[in-house]
Amino acid sequence: MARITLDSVRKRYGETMAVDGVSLTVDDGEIVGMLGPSGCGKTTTLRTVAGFETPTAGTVSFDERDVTHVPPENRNVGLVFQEYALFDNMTVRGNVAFGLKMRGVGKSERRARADELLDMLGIGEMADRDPTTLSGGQQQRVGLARALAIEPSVLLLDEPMTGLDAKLKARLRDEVGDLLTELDVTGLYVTHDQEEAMLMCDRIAVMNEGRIEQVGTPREVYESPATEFVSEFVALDAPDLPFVRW
Amino acid sequence: MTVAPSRRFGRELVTVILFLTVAFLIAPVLLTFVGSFAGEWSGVFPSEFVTLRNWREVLGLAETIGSQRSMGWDSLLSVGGYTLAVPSELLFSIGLALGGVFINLVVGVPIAYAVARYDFRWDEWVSAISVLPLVPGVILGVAFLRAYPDLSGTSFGLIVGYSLLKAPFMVMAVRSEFESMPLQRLEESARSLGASWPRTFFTVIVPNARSGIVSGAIICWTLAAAEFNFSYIVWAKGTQPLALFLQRHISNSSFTRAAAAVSMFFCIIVAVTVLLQQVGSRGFDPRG
Repeated sequence: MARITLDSVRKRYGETMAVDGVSLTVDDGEIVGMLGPSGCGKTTTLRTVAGFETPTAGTVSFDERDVTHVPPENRNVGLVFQEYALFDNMTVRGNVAFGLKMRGVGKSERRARADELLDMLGIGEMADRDPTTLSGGQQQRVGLARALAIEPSVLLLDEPMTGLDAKLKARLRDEVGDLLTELDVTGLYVTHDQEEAMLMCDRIAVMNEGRIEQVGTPREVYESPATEFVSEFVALDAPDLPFVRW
Repeated sequence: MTVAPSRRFGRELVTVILFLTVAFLIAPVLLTFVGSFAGEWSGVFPSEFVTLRNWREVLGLAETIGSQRSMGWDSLLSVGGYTLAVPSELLFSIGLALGGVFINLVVGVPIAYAVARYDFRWDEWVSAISVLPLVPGVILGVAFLRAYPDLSGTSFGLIVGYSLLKAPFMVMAVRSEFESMPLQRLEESARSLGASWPRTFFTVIVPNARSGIVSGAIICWTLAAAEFNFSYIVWAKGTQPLALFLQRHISNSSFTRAAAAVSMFFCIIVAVTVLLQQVGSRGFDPRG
């Protein structure tokens, strides 16, 4: 794992400024949430960290290494998407082992590592299954296992629970939250759901119109919002949350 | 409580209509197949069963009346007085259509991918042109002879023509498959896991689209094999394309022999379809 630093990152598409001077540090082992309405630039920021977007200005560093122009396949980042995006032409185990295969890890070791991760996520018995036969929650666990298998410098989660129903979401949130803490993962967690951000993340960066409005612990953001936007966005039907990370 | 009649009878009605439609469509095929074994077919139904004469004539195993060319049989190997022969010309004409499919795979899949995956300046145009069933075979055939006189009558000319005429079907089938999956997410997942772009394309993107690619190949092959107009204009000598072979047996021979030719064509289509499906699912499936 590594410390992720974004320094004055800007991304412009034609006339539109999608990300407008974002500076943020994610410490080693920390999960930072990027919270904001759709179109606020949080996904573009995440894609910049992954290497799928090159910033118009600014730099991205993993520890001391400047990775701004390093292609995605050489960055060692784990990605988890809302759409799961599992490879249907492989078994569950094949999906999890894919990254290790690309790194030239031997077959028996790949297999052992994949099975270990699947067990850890409670879906060890699904290893030989076709991913399309799994439920949404199970598929998302496979997606997570696949991203964690390469021991990424940073784990990037893009609305990973948005497609799931409320009950499953609650359960997965607890389990995944515990697992990420246990594994000491450095993570960037993009979501539009303030409850999810507050429960899963050590700190939250609230974004609006390409800028970060406030960075702080869930309690800071909730109790002393820095701007009117933050207060409106976070307070919006925020329930009485058991703030697990306070 | 009363149940609506549509609910009570709807299912049965749909089943009956479906059954009748399928029966109506399949009846001529079955009748043709049965008729190919008949000695005489002058009324509605064939008579004088059972004879293999029609099939033997069509397959070029029996002497035919007139100067029609039979199918070329080459002996493959001889063991103890028995000779195993293969209908080399028939295989060749099947191969002509397969050649067109091959070109469409190499060219059509990347086009479908580009149009489905990227927004670029002319993507609407590329998309429109690639799926436009360009021109009828007659026009393409005439244009072909004018533009490339050297290619006229050659097998290569036929293959290129088939691929041009049928490319839209490949692009459409593969493109809709690409559009039905989270293409960009799949690609990004694979890239982030350390796969280069070419490796991502061949080990993740293409295998994930296998059902679209296989159905595209089957449609292309079937249509290329049955393409008469273009074949008629461009073909000059040598092995006849399948469509011309069929036409020859239909236009100047008995009804029963035409039935045998059509039945054989049908059998070939079924066989190649099964073959493409098998190659498709085996070739792409690492579990197999």
